[in-house]
Amino acid sequence: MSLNANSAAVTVRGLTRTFGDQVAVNNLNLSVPHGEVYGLLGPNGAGKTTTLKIMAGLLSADEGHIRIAGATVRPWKTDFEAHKKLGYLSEDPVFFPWMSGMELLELVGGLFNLTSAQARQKAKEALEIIGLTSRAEDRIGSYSRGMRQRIGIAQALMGEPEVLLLDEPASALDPLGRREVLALVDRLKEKTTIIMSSHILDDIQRVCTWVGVLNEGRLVAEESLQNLLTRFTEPMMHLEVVGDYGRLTDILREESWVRGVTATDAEIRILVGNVSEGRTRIPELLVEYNLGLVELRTESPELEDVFLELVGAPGESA
Amino acid sequence: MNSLLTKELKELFRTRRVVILPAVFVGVGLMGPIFMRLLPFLLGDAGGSAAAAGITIDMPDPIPADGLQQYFGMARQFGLLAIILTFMGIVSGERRDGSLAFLFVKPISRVKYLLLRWSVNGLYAMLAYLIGSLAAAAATHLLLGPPDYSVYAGAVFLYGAYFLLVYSWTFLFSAAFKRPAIAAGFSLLPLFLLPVLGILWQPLGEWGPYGAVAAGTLAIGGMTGPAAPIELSAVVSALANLGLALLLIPSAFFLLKRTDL
Repeated sequence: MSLNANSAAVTVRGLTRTFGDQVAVNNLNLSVPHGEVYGLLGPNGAGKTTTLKIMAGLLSADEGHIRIAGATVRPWKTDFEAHKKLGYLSEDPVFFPWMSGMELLELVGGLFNLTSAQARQKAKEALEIIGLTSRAEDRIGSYSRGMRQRIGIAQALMGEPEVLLLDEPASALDPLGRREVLALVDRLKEKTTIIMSSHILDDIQRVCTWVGVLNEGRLVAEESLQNLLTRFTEPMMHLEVVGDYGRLTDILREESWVRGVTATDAEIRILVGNVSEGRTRIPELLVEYNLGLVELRTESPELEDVFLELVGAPGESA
Repeated sequence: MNSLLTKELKELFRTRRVVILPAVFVGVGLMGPIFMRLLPFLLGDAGGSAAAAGITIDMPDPIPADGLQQYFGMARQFGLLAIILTFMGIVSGERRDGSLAFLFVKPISRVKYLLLRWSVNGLYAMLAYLIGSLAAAAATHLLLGPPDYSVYAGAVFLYGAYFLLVYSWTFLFSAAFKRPAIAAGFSLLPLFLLPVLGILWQPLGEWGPYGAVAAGTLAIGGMTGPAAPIELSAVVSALANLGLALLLIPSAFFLLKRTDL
């Protein structure tokens, strides 16, 4: 499924960046639809952070160009159109530890030309969204990693960005912190287009609606999460029965909706092309062959399966 | 711009940097005259044992100029060292810890931010130096008698221009290198090289950056010799130092403007 560049919140064309003889990003093309949560997925060293930094105007590109909400990103230029439209949270956010959370947000409000009253009001709203109101006046130096991550998201929201870039926002957090940050990202998708990088499949699958899979600086897949799952994986049905099911497995292999069958002592695993047809046919076959049903369940495809298919299993060259 | 100015001022206070440089300069400002006031007594004590060994120490009474000389001598060492250590991470520290990246994804000009940072901290460094100079003058007046204030003011200006230059090259090196320690190393190097080069090549010693400092020392006079008038070359050197200090800033802008963060 391709995306028209005009309907995209972010378009990246022919982006290349090398560090010495190491190619970090290699002729990358991306299109991020408006209002989606776009997961930039890839193993460590795939080029995710470099891509996001170039998008944020912090790194230069050797080649290619980026447009964010219609504005061209020009690193090092005093042209702020793109910077007015984006919010950015780095992988390991560092803010002035001597500032309070409220002061940081007021500073950012000022940088977006808000009056001090407007900045304070906006900061209060942002703190409310991230759930840090009670710690607003505490110094950032006393914040936990998860709180720093949340205040980082708040500062990125201060300019009401059309596009929010989050670099591994939850990767370094404990399970509770991860859950909080991902829930926050989920809530923010109502307000803005989000590009979130991660090497954690579960995080991407939990909140993202579109996925781009990066490997060795190249985009190896890009489409909606659902399409990606459908295209690269097929659902599996697990069937447990009472009785001699040797004949049943042979019959199943001849059914048009079945892609493959493996049987063990405990269960029959059926790779299916059409789940609804399977749900209708399996009970009929059980009756026909006089077998008792113990369990029938459908296993949803996982992003991990797609990822391994695209990038390769650990140790494999992708 | 106002919010960035507020940030700079808050940073000065919250990090307690606001007290460090004034404390150093006031410290050396008081130490210089106090040391000169005590020197005859210290030498008198040493004189007893020296006399027993057959050595005579002939020490003239210290005059106000000696207190000021001592102050400038210590400021040239400890004051400049404090300036370099305070500002070695002024850009590199923020670049290294990621706070520059946080600021530069916002719609602000890198040049304006650096100019503001250089101005606020430069003003602070110069204020600290002036406070130290006032402390030195007051201590000298109290302990050694009234100095020639007009000559002293001239020397304060000559030294101040050089100190501002040192601050600016520290700022430049801080923008050039990611590690504050490397910035400090490069900032210390000219402090040793300039006087040596000035001795090796007379015109550089007279008209170059260190010429203003040498002329300021001569203008004060004291034990080392009578006060010498401030020559045109010293004024030119001081003005050149101010000009150089200003010229180094665009260089810092240029370096950082094209830096990946």
